[in-house]
Formats: sequence, C-alpha cells, structure tokens
Amino acid sequence: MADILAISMFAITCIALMGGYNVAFTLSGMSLLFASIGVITGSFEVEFLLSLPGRIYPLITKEILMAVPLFVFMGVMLEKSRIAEELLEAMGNLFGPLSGGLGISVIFVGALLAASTGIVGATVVTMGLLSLPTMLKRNYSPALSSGAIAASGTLGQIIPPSIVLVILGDQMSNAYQEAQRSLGLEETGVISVGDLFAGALVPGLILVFLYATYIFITAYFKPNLAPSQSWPEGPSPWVFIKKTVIAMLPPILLIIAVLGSILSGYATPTRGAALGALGAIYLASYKTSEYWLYKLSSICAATSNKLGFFNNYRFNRNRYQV
Amino acid sequence: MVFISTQEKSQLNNMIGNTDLIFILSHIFQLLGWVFSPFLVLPIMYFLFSKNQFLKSLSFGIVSTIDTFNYYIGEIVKWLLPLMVLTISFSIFALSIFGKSWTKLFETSEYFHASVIMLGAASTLLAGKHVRVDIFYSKMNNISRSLVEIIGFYSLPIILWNSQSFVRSSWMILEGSSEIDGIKGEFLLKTLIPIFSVLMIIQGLSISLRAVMYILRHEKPLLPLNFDDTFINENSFK
Repeated sequence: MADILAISMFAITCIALMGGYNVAFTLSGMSLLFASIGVITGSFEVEFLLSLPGRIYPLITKEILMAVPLFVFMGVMLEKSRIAEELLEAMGNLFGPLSGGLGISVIFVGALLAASTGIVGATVVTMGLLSLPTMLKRNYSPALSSGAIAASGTLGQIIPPSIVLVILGDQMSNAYQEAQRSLGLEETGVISVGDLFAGALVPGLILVFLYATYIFITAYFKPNLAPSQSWPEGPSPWVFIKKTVIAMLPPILLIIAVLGSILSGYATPTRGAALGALGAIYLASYKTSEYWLYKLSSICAATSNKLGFFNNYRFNRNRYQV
Repeated sequence: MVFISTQEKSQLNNMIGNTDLIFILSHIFQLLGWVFSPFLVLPIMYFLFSKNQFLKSLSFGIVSTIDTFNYYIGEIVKWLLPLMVLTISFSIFALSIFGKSWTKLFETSEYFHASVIMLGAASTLLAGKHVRVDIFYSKMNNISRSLVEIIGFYSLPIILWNSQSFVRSSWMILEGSSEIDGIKGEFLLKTLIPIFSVLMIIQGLSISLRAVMYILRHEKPLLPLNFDDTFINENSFK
C-alpha cells in the first residue's frame, strides 16, 4: 500500500507541477495530502508530521545556509553595478578581429560573472539584454548567439561559488555521514562546501574552455555564422587592452577575495560570501554615486524576492524526507 | 490537541516558574486560530454567493489590508540583508584584526537571516516571485490561472498546527543559544515558524480572493503603492 501511495504521489505531483502553481506550495500540499491519505489507510504515522517544525528550524539557523542570501545579494549588487556591461563592451572590441571573437568574449564574461556571483537567473537575463542585440547587429546567426548566451549564463551553477553547491554540500555531508553509519564504518572525514567548490573548479573551467573552442571552430569553418570584425578606427589596440584590463580588475579581485578565502580554508563559505558582498557594496557605491540608497533598497527587494526560490528548496526537502 | 504530557510539564515546572502563564497564552492563541479559521473558506463562499454585498466589501477590505501589511513587512525586513553583511564582515574583522571572537555579533546575523527568510516569504508571494513551472501556465488564459491560484491555496495550515508544541516548549524554558556566550533568545527564532505560516496563510487568502474577484469581474483593490521593478503589478493575473 505504501509503495502504491509513494508512486502515485510522485506521478500526481508531476502533473500538478505542470499546472503552474508555485512549486513550493504544490510540493508541500501534495505531500501533506498523501500523508493524510496514508494516515487514513494506516501506512503513515501522524506523529511524523509533528517533526515538521523541528525540521524547518535547522534550515533557518544553519550557518552554512546563511551563505545563500549573501551570495544572492552579492550577485544582484554586481548585476546592478553594470560591471558586466563594461566588461562585455571592452572585450567585444578587443576580440573583434578573432573569428567568433564576440561569442568567445560573451563566454568569458559569463564565466567571470559566474565565478564572482553564483546565481543563474540574473546573469542570463543581463547577458541576453546586453549581448544579443550587439551580436545580431554584427550578423551573428541567432541560433549561435542565443546558444552562447544561454550556455555562458548558466555557468553560475557549476563554477564556484555556486549556491546550488552550497545547498548540495549541506545535503551531501548528511548523506555521507548516514552512509558511513549504516555501513558500520568509522566516521572518517566530512564533505564540506569548500571541498565541493574545489572539486567543481576544474570541470567548470574545462566547460568554459570547451564552449570557447566550439565557438572558435564553428566560426573558423563557417565564417558566415559568426563574422569577425576589425577594430574600430582611431585608437590603437593598446587602448582596448587597457580598457579590458581595467574592466576585468574589480570582478577578478572579488573572485580572488571570495574564492581564495574559501578554498584556502581561511574563511567558511558564509564568511567568504559576507566579505564578497561587502566588496560588491563598495564597488557599487563607487560606481553609482547618486540615488545610492534608493538603488540599495531595490537591490534588497530583488534579493529577498529571489530568496523565495531557495525557500522552495528548503521547505520541500523536509516534506519528502518525512 | 495538547501535545505536552503532564510529566513533561512538571519537568519544565522545575526548570522555570512561569510555565502556567505561557500555557494559558498558547491556549489563547489556539482559540484565536479557531476564531479566524472560518475565513479560510471565504474564497469559496465569495465564489458561490457572488451577489452578496457584505461578502464583497468584506473581502475587498481583507485583501487590501493583508496586501498592505505584508508589503510593509517585506519592505522592513529587506533592510536586514545589508545589516547581515555588515555584522558578519565586522565579526570577521574583529577576529582577524583584534583577535576577538564575538559570538554574539555573529549570532545576531543568524537572527537577521532567519527573519529575512521567514518574514520575507509572504511579500515574495505577494510579488508573485515564487518559482512556477510555466510550460502550460504561460499559455493558460486568466480564468484558468485564477482557478489554479484558488485550488492551490488550501495546503499551508498544517505547519502552523504542528509548530505549536515545538514553540511552546521552547518558550517555557526560554531557550537560549547552544553557545556559552551566545544570545539567550532561541525561543524567538522558533516563534518565527508559526509567524511565517500565519503570514503565508493570510497572503494565500488574499491572492485567492483576488483570483475570485478576477473571475467574477469585480473591482479589485490596488496593490500597495510605491512599487519598484521587483513588484510587477499583478503579473500573476494579467
């Protein structure tokens, strides 16, 4: 009976999710519905439901999960401080003569943003708004340019510091300990979020490299898909190089501060994220002097709204474990 | 109905004196919950008796009150985010420069975090920013979207119901931090859980009432003023 319930819960939840109600409340509502069916048919103890608040509580107080709002805050802050715009413009000009140069610079800007923020949605939208019109104006094929933007925008998931890895790290350390206990092994070592970050760094960079290579090869063999473009008339190439370096400096400093402190074990991910957020506040206040408070307010609002997404994760995980 | 045994109660009695007061208070809150629970069927009643003037004005008032309330809560709570950044950074600097570990300061940021997460959720719901799978939803017309909103509403009260003994026992011993020099206010953090569910329930009520108003083509109250780009006006029902 319990098996049938579990399978039908899975199937009906999938259908209900497609209906389009908020994911968090669909999942919780469905699991509670099936829990009550289970109580009626006697395959589920009512007492399990009593542990629900006890399971929510650690999720709002765990130190490692405090890194999530901090990374989101940092990401939104960087997005609003227009670092991506400058970087993209400078790099696009610099790599223009290379075959597929603009596409490659989109990939690199995406990777830099991913390494400094760790959230996905914002970067995809920003990159799309910024680079798609430019790419189309330079006669890039729409398929190739939107593909490059989507791929580079989602790099935030893989390249640390990534919020998905923070949540996964929390989950996996529990699973790891439970697995060791159930096998009767001694508890040797733990999986920390820092370990996951270190592990994800190289694969992420390989992915960036592969994307760039793909665009380069495509543009090399089919130049009409991604036509190259000579440097604008007037200033010497050194001007573009200088501009690119200046635009790259702030994100790279942030990356070194955040990732460096986390990977070297100097700071926990939460503290690293707080430092990064502080750096981002500084950068943004440096770039936008007027209406600063107003912007900060809209950034806070955007952040707390984005947190809704992670809440979904938090509360649902509970229900299904119960 | 009361999830605390007499034996447990006597144990708690030994720890601290004022358990009776909190026991009575918790029953008062429970009673309030029973008094207000009929409001949960208001969307259905409104849908069935759409001609009733009293129901119409009642739900209009309820929706505008709830929305304004949750909007301002969200507006206040969002300022805890930069505060959280500042407190954590400050505790890092205190540790690395002055060599002082300041547990209380770090725990303050924990309180900020919990408050942002739990109290901001309802205003996120108001802004329609919770994640949806919109493969079909984006193609639906407004009527079926509104129906989805109404059907989806009836799932939250269980957390509220279950958190009562959890919170009550924490209040009875006025639970402090697990750190030695931490803040002695863990019971306040636990109280956030029922507050969260109450806020979510009333916001869900408001949204489903809005959906009914849309279906009936009645006039809807305006969303709170002073929106910026994150509060896209009525994006769920357009």
